[in-house]
Amino acid sequence: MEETRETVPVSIPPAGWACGCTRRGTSHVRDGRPCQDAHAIWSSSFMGEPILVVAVADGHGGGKHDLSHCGAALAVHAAVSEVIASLPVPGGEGAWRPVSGSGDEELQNRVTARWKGCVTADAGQRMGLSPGGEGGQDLFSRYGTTLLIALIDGSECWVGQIGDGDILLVRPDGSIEAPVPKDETLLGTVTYSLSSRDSPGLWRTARFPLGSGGLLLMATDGLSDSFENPETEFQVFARSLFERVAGYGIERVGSALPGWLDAYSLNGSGDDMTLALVSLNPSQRAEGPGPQVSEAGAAAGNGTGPEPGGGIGSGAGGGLGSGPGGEKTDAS
Amino acid sequence: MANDIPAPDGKVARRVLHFFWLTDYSASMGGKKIATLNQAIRESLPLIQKAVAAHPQVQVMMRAIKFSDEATWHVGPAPASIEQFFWPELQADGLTATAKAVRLLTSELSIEKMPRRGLPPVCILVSDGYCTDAEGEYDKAIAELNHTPWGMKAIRLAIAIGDESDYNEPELLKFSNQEKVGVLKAHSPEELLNFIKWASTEATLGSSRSKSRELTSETGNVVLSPPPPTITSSTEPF
Repeated sequence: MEETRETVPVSIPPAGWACGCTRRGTSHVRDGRPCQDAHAIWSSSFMGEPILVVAVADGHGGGKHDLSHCGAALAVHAAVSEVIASLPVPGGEGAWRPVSGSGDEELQNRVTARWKGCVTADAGQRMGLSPGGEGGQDLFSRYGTTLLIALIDGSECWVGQIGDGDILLVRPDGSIEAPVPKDETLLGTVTYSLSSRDSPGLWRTARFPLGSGGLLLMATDGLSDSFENPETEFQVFARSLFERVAGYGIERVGSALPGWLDAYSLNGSGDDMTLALVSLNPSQRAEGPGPQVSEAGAAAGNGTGPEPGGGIGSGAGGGLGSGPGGEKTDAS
Repeated sequence: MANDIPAPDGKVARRVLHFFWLTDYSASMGGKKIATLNQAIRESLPLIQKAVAAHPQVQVMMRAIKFSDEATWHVGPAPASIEQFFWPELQADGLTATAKAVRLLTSELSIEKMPRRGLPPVCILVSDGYCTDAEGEYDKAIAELNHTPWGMKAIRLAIAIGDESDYNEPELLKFSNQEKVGVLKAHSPEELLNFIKWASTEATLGSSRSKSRELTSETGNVVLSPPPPTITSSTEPF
């Protein structure tokens, strides 16, 4: 498994650009621990509508979570796979509404279920454990990880988060929105997890119109923990990053990310770091009164859709064009 | 090419580990006890620095509360970095206002004063006697500490000095939240030196190592293992 991963900026016309970077933390390098972060970016289009999925995960680490680096990689894989699986099959009827449904049919719960399936399969290959056999909750805990997801179409963004990490949107006027409020119940280094027994109730989700656009940041906690104040100074960072993207372009910013993240880890938290950026153009569509992503069509079932080819941690490259059919195009 | 882009703004800092000493300087601490306490804390400082050197992402910030008739800051309330921390000599005098000391500690462990995403604070109480605050005050102070989020999450250790009949072990046990460790009983100057060094370094390491963990019903504090058995020597007891 790669220790560090960069996703070169991916164009998602007309919505904008996306890129990401995962770096092994300095304390992990020093202690010989693997990088326990992962990210994936997948873009395509459907019926002329851009689709972008960004997933960021942070494995818990430590003895009880000894396979969490795998759990994080499987989590971002599950997020992308579930969105792809929700696309209607070619020639089928209906539009696409990946975040529709309730209860088990909600996207975050389908992703959780898919992740557990991936973990079970991985454990079977790795340790010979049979699905549904020994291990149970303890097995999932060994793969424990957080997960942040963003799903963007031409007019709206849906975000979901379980556990720690940061999702911020910097608008062109410099204002900052935190679509998913901080969980005030978490203190210190404990976090919610995909492996939690009650994980469906631990997700926090939100949706917002792209409106005037801006810069969407998704980061693991290693980054914000590197600032003197993980909230106020991280917002200073976010606003400044928006200015860098505006001034230098996302390609140059994307290529600078590895060095920046390494410096933050060295001088700050020492933790693994992942930062995914989505530079959002202003929406070209008049904003409607309500959500648009989940309004029409039928969501595909869990686990039956095609898989993204090698998209985990490698951004859009492996996933493009490997979806369910001819309706999607390579957007890069 | 990319390197000529200035890094984004935002003050970068290492993760802060807040360390609190709570030291008894009542009259009964006079003589060898207070002298050894002064010496032990001074000698523990470079050991803590050495221990935390393996965790360069952690910045230890230290403060000290002293208590006799009252509880006041010995070093503080502004914390000093471990590199700049200086232990002023304590002179024994007065009673044992342990409850007031615990309350002063609790006031510093509020969410408003401690970062929500910080490392567990380390709190080490050293005493040789019974709390002399009004009856029930000590239990109330401990209850308040236990109801403060960071009070619950802190690594709390208690070191008792002298003969078992001189101090109130159950009282000190209520301060400690390390079941496997219990109350560290220093019968002699040598043991006090060893326990102060062990407690300060192990608690600092325990906090520094703490890593994101899944929140479960079993998720508790950082758990320290008991200290190695003290090798007895010919050192005179207190």
